Amino acid sequence: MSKKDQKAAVNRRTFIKMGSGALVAVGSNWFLPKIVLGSDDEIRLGAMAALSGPVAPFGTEQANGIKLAVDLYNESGGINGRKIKLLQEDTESKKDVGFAVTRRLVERDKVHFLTGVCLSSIVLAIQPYIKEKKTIFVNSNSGNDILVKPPHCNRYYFKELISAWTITLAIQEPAKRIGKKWYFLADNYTHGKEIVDHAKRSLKSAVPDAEIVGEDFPNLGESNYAPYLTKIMAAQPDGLFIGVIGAGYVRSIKQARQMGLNCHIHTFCWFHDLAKAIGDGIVGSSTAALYMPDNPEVPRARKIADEYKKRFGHWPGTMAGEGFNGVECIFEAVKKAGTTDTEPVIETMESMEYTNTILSPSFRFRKADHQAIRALYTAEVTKDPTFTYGLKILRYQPHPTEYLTPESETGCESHMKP
Amino acid sequence: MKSATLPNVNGQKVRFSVYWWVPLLAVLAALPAVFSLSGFADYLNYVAVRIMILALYAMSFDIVYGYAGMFSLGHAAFLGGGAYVAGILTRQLGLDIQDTLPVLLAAALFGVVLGWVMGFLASRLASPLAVLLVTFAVAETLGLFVMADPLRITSADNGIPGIPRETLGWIIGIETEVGFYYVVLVILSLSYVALRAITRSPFGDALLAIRENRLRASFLGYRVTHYQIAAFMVSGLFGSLAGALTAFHEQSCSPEIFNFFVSGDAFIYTVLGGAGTLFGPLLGTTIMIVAQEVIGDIFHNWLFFLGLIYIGLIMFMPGGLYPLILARFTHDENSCMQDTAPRS
Amino acid sequence: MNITMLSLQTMNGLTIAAIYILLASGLTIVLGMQGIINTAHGFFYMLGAYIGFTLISRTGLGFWLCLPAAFAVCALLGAGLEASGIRTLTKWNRGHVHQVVLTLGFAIVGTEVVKFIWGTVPQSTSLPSILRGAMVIGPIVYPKYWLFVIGFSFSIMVALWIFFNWTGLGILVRSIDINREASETLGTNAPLLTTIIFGLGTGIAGVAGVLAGPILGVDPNMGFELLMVLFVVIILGGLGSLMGTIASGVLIGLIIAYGTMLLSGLAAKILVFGVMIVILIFRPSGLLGRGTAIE
Repeated sequence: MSKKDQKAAVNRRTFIKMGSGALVAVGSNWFLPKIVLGSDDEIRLGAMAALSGPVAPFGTEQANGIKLAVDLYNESGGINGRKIKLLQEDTESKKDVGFAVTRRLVERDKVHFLTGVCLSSIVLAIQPYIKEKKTIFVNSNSGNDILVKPPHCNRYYFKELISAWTITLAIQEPAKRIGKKWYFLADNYTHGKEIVDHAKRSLKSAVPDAEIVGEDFPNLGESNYAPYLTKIMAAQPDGLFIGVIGAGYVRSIKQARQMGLNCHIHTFCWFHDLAKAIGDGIVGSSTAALYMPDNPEVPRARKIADEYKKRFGHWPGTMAGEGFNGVECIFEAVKKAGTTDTEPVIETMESMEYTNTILSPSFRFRKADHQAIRALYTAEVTKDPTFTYGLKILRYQPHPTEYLTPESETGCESHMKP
Repeated sequence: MKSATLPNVNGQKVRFSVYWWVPLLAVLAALPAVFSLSGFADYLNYVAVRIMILALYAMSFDIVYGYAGMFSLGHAAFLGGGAYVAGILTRQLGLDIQDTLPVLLAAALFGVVLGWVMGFLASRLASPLAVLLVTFAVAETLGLFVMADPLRITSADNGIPGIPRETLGWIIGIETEVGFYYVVLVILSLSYVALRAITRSPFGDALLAIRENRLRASFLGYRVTHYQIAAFMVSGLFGSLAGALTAFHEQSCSPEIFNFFVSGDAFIYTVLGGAGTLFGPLLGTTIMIVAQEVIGDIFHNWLFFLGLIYIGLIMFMPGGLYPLILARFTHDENSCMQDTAPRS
Repeated sequence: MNITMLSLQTMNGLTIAAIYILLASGLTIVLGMQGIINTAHGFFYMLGAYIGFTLISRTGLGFWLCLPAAFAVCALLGAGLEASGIRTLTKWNRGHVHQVVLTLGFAIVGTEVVKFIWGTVPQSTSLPSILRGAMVIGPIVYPKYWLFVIGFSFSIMVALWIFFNWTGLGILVRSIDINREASETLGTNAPLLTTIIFGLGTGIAGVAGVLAGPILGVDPNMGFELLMVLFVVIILGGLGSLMGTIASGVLIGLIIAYGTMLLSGLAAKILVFGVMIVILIFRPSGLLGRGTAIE
C-alpha cells in the first residue's frame, strides 16, 4: 500500500463519521413507530408483497391492486368515516424477510389487518405468528391447499385465492372439445406437482377415456424448454397442460410455438402481462380465469380496471385483481361489522356473502377452514382491441366445490376456536 | 508484497484489550431491558438475535476466508444445511424430540461432515475461481435437492414451518424472545472464545502461513490440504450451528436459504468488519442488518444499496472497519489501511 | 426413441450451446487473457436483451440494427466499468476476489436500475420476419431462427479466432497475456488494450442478449441464471481457449439436452455440476487449457 493511500484513509475516517451521523438521523426515523406518525383514528392495513426477487412481477401487481383498493376507499370517504393507512412492506420473495416485516408491521406499527403475500413458504411461516398475535390476515395470492389444512389453518387466516384443486377444473371444458391425449408440463415444485395431480383427476372425471401421454417437471425458472418440447412433440398429444409460472410461462409457450408444436394449449391460470410477452402464440389457448377486467357479469370490474390503467399505466392482471379483492374482503366486513375489533370482524367475514366483487357476482369464505368459495371461469384467449389479448368465457361455475374437503371433515375445528 | 501484509490485528502486536469485553458483554446483556422500554420489545429482540446468529455465521466464514484464504461462494450450504437438519429432525421424521440441544449438536455434526466434503473438493483446486465455483456448486446442489425433495422430507418450496422451540438442555426455557436472546448470546460468546483459541493456536498460524504462501508452507512441511480441510470442518461446525439457530429463531426454514446471495452476505459481513479478525464479522453483521432494516423500511429497495455497498467496500475499504477502529484506539496509523483480507 | 428424436435433441443441445458459447467467449477472453473475473457478464447479456426488446418493439428499428446498437452500448459501458473500477483494482494489486465483488456489486446495482426502467415483468422480442417459420433438414424440422443462432454464434467464434491469431491488435493482446511487463516495455499500451478487450467481451454479451431475446425471453433475472453455467463452460474449456470454449459449450449443451430427455431436468443440472467438479479435480486446466488455471 502506498503512502498516498494511507493519507486517503484519514479522509475516509471523517467520511465514515459523517456517514454514521446520517445513519443515526435515518435510524431515528425507523425507530419511530408509524403509529406515532399517523393519527390514531386511522385504520392501519399492513400489506406484504414481493417487490423484488423472483416473484416480483406478481408481487408488484398485487401491491398495485392493494394500493388501488385502499385509495378508492379513502377517496370515497373512508370506512365508517375512518381513513385507511396503508403500510406496504417488501418481502423480497424471501421467507426470512417476509416473516421479519410481518413482525415489524404487527409489533411496531400495530396494524389492524394484514393482507398480501404470494409465496406459500412465507404464509406457512407467519401463520402461527398471526394466531399468537390474533391479527387477521387475508392472504390474496397463495393457491397452495396445504395452507387451509390442519395444523396450518387457523381462526385469523383467510385464504382469498381459489383452491389449487378447483382451478384445474378448467381443463374439463377444452378436454371435451379438443381430444383425449394430454401431456402435462409444470414446474418442479409443490404447487406445480399439485396442480398436475388434480388436473389429471379433473380430466379423467370429464373425459373418462382420456389418455395421459406424458408429464414433465422442468426446474423452476428453466431457460430452455426445447428438450421437453421435443419429447412432447414425439408423444403427439391433442392438448398440452402448462402449469409453469413466471418467465417460464413465457418461454415454454413461445418456444413451443416456435418449434412448431401446434396442439391445443391449456394454461393453468391467466397472466395478462406474460401473455403480451408471448405474443400471438397464446391466441386460441384455453385457461382458467380468476379475474377478468371486462367480466360481463360484473360491470364494476371494468370501471376499476380503467382506474387501475389510469394510475399504473397498464391493465390489471390476475394478481392485481386478487390483491384488490383481498382488501375489499377485509373492509366490506369492517363496514358491516361497524368496528375494527378482531372477533366481530372475523365473525362477519365468516358469515357474510360478498356480492358484486370485481372477480365474480358472489364470493364467500367458508366457516370451517376460511377458504374462499368463489367462481371459476374457463376461458379462451382471443385477440382484443383494448387489452391486446382478451378472454372469451367458455364456462362459468359459480361455486365449484367438487374437490374441496367437505366442511365437516376439514379437521380444522380445534384450530378455529378464538 | 504478500509477506508485508501479514496481519498484525489478529496476531500478537495489536490486541483488543480484555477490559473491553466486560463492558461490551454488560451492554449486550442489558439490551433486552433497554428494548423493553419501547413499545415493540419482542421485535427488537428478534432483530438482535438475528444479528447474533448471522454474526456467528459470518465468523465461521472468516475462518475459511480470512484465515485459510479460500473464497467460498457456497457458505450458505452450512447455514441452510444446519437449518434443514433442525427442521427435518424436529418436524419431518416423526421423532419426538422435545429439546433443542440434541438438534443443535446434530446440526454441528452435519456441518463438520459437509465441511469435510467441501474442504476435500476445495483443497484439491489451485485457483480461487475454481474454489469459488465448486463451493457454489455444492450449495446449489443441496438447494436443488431440497427443492426437488426426492426423499419427501424437505417439503420442497413450502419449507418446514412450525419448528418447536421450547427448552435447551431440558432446563433452560427459550420459548420467549428474551430467553432465546440470552441463550444465543451465550452460544455466540462461547463460539467466539473457541474460535479465537483455534485461530491463535499453532493451527491458526499454519492456516495464515498457507494463506500467505501455499507453496512455502508446504516446503515447511505443513500438509496443506489437511489444514484446508480442517478449516472447512471448523467453519462448517459453527456455520451449521448458526443455521440450526436460524431455524429455531424463525421457527421455520425454506429453500432460498441456499441462495448464493446468502453466501455473498457472509462475505460482505466479514469484509465490511475486517476479514481475518474474527471480531470484524460481528461488527460487519451488526451494521449490515441494521442498515437492511432501516433502508429496507424506508426505500423498499435493499438490493440496490447492497450493490453500492459491495462496490464502495471493495474500492474504498477492503481492510474493513475493525482495523480502522483499532488503529484509532492504538494510534497505530500503519494498521488503518492494512489489507488483512487475503490477496488472491 | 428414434433417430428423429435423437437428432432433434442434438439440435436442441447445439442451440443451448450456441448461446452459452457466445456468452462464454466474451468471458473467457477477459478472464483467460487479462485475468479479470467479470461476474457482471450476465448483466450485460440482460442489458443487451432489454436494448433489443426496446428498439424492436418501441422504435421499430429492425432486428439487424439492434445487434450493433446493443454491442455498442454494452461495449462502452463495459469499457467504462473496466477503466473506472477494475483498472484501479489492478493498479492496487488486488486479487480476483475483489474483482468478483466489484463486478457483482455493479451487476446488482445495474439490475436494479434495469428493473426500475423496464419493470420486473418478463418481456420478449419478436422474430425478424425472414427468420420466422421452420426449415427441413434431413429427418427433422427445425425453427429457422434457432439455426440462425447456431450459425451466428459459430461465425462470431471464427471472427474472434481470426482476430486473436491474425490481426496486429489481437497479437498485441496475446503478448500482454504472455508477458505483460515485457510487452509494455516494448511500447504496448496494456491498460488501454485491456479496456478494449473488456469492452469487446461485454459487447458480445450484449449481442448474445439480443439473439436470446426471441427464444429465452427478456427478464431481469436472466443474467444471474446463466452466469454460473458460463463459468462452468469456460473453466471446462480451459481459460482463454476459444476452441476449448466451443468444445465445452457443446458438451454442456448436449449433457443438458440428453440429460433432460433420458433422466430429468434436475438430474441434468446436477450432472453439469458433477462433470465440472470431476474435471476440475482431475484436469484443473480444463479440456483444452494450457498450463494451470489462473493463480
